[in-house]
Amino acid sequence: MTNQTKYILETKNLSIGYSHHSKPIAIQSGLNLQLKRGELCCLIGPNGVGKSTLLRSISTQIQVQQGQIFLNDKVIHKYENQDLAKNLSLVLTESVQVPNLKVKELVAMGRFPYTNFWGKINKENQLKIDEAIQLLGLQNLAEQNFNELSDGEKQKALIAKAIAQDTPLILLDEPTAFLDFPSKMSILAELRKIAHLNNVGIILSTHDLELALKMADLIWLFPQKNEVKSGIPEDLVLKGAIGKAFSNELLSFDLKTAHFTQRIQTRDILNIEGVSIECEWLRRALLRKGINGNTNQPMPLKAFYDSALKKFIFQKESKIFGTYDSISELLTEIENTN
Amino acid sequence: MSNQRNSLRLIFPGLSILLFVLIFLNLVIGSVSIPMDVFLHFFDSDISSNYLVWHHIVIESRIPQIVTAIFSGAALGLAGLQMQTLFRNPLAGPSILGISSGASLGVAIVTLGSGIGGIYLGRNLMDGIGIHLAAFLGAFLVLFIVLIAAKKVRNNASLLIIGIMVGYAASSIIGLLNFIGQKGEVHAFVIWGLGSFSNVQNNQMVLFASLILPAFVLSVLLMKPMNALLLGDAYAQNLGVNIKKTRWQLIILSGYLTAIITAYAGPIAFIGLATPHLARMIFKSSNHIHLIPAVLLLGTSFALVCNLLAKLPFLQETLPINVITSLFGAPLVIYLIVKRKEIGF
Repeated sequence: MTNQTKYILETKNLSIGYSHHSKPIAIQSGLNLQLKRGELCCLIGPNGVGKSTLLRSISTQIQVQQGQIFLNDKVIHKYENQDLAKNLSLVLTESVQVPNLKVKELVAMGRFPYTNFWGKINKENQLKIDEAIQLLGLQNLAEQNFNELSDGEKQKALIAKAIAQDTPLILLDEPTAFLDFPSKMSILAELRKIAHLNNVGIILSTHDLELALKMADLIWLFPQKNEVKSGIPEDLVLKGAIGKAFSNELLSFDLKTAHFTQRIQTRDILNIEGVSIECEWLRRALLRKGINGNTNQPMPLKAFYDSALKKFIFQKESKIFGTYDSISELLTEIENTN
Repeated sequence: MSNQRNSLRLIFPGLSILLFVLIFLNLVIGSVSIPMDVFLHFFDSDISSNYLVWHHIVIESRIPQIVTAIFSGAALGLAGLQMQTLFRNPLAGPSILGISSGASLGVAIVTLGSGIGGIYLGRNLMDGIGIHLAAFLGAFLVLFIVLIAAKKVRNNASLLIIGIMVGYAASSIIGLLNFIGQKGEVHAFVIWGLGSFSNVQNNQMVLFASLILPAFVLSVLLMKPMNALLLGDAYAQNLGVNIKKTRWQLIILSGYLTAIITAYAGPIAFIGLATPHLARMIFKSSNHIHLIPAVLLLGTSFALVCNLLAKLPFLQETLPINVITSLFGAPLVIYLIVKRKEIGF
């Protein structure tokens, strides 16, 4: 390719927001963000921080308030409609409801900027459509009506439409909302594959922080209060940016596991000995009951898992108090003792 | 794919044959029964005086009626499709923006206006161009208001509500005019409001056709952007469609078609609302490359069937067309919906 642009998308001192009674209200300002081709970028942050607004600004659905957005080094509002359609594709949160529209016809709509006056699909167009359908694994659904698909399949079909549009930049507004966990995972995996394989830049907004940290090449973090941060997930975690952005009096971010845990007052009454999986799950169960299983000091009560017996053992003052088949039984016993 | 192609290959010729059958039936059936002989020897030069009367009926009454029905059905079906696609609303139709109410208001003013003093214009022009002109002016006044509103509001739902409100306002003035109008005038206005395909004489036909046909051609040109609109404004814009321009064009075309038909045939109910649904159900497609020819064919057939039902031989006199369109059309659409269990825009 002749394209030597370093960034597919770049914002310079960008202010985004809405106008209220023709008075501009900025949601975010001074944004200097960059995205390279081949990168999957996740836009994360709580509600109302301007994730959707940024995507709408980039796709020129709303006007920017200040600064500029560059697509392939060209200011985005200087693109002609048709030309922009060949450089930027969209997948939105709002549901699409069209009766009698087959999946392959929906995907074919992605070729709209390339087809002639009558919208005729020629060989090259058909090739791109088939490619997109294949990439998302929709071959078996191609003849089905879009309306009859599950939410996850609908999302995939809309992504296939964006792929068929064959643009170097794809924007997706919360593509994983309303999906079950496996579908979320598979959508993000597909998107990352597409970004790398087709060498396109992909930006998506999401509330699935843990998934984003796992899958994204780049994170744009929109915290509650200003100062947007950009970086690879690991750096943002280590710098504490993630923890700071999402922790509150109820949740704390665990650096080691990249999980959020509930902040609760725990009691120190016993120790769990061992590092087996069973012990880990026992710790979790106790934590939910407000009991800390790792007190770092000697305790009269002790619990562990005997992998030979396949039983949980409960000790009081170094004497075996009881053996249990399930965590549930053990929990009842521990609670009774106190 | 091949399945759909095959069925399309059957449906279009089938509908075309149906159309010819309907034209033929509309020619031979009417309140005056005309022997088949007349049609077989229609172009013979030596004909008896009895034949001459029948000849006259066919040429001066039945043929213009058929042509008017064809244009009206096609235009209303198309206008309805344009509104349903633009507003993505299955209940939208040609009258949704209040344009036919505007036409009615125009006609109400000239027919009922003598009651408010001074407007005798209508009396003299009752049967002819005066009515058409009044309907035109009323319809275009409303279209103009709607277009100004379309410039001001971005939201399609708001525009829809504005259109409906303008319609209500026009209707309430019509109600007032009815209230103060003379009995005979009110009756005349009610009759006009029931619609008729017999209002266009042969000498007006060229003008009528040349007003309608260019709008058909322009509508076909909007096929591709209309397809993109199915996905919603944001997606359509992202596919390169100029949303503002397309919306403007669709409102003008649909409003224009509705205005012309209402001026010439009165506010024909139901055809514009129902035809796009019939088209989607029969063709099982939302693609306007199928839907536009489909609504033209189906709207035409719908109008011709209604025209035929209105003048069946056992009826004492020809019934008003609106009595038939809804009475025949409503059960048909209900049946199709119940059977197919899906409706869209």
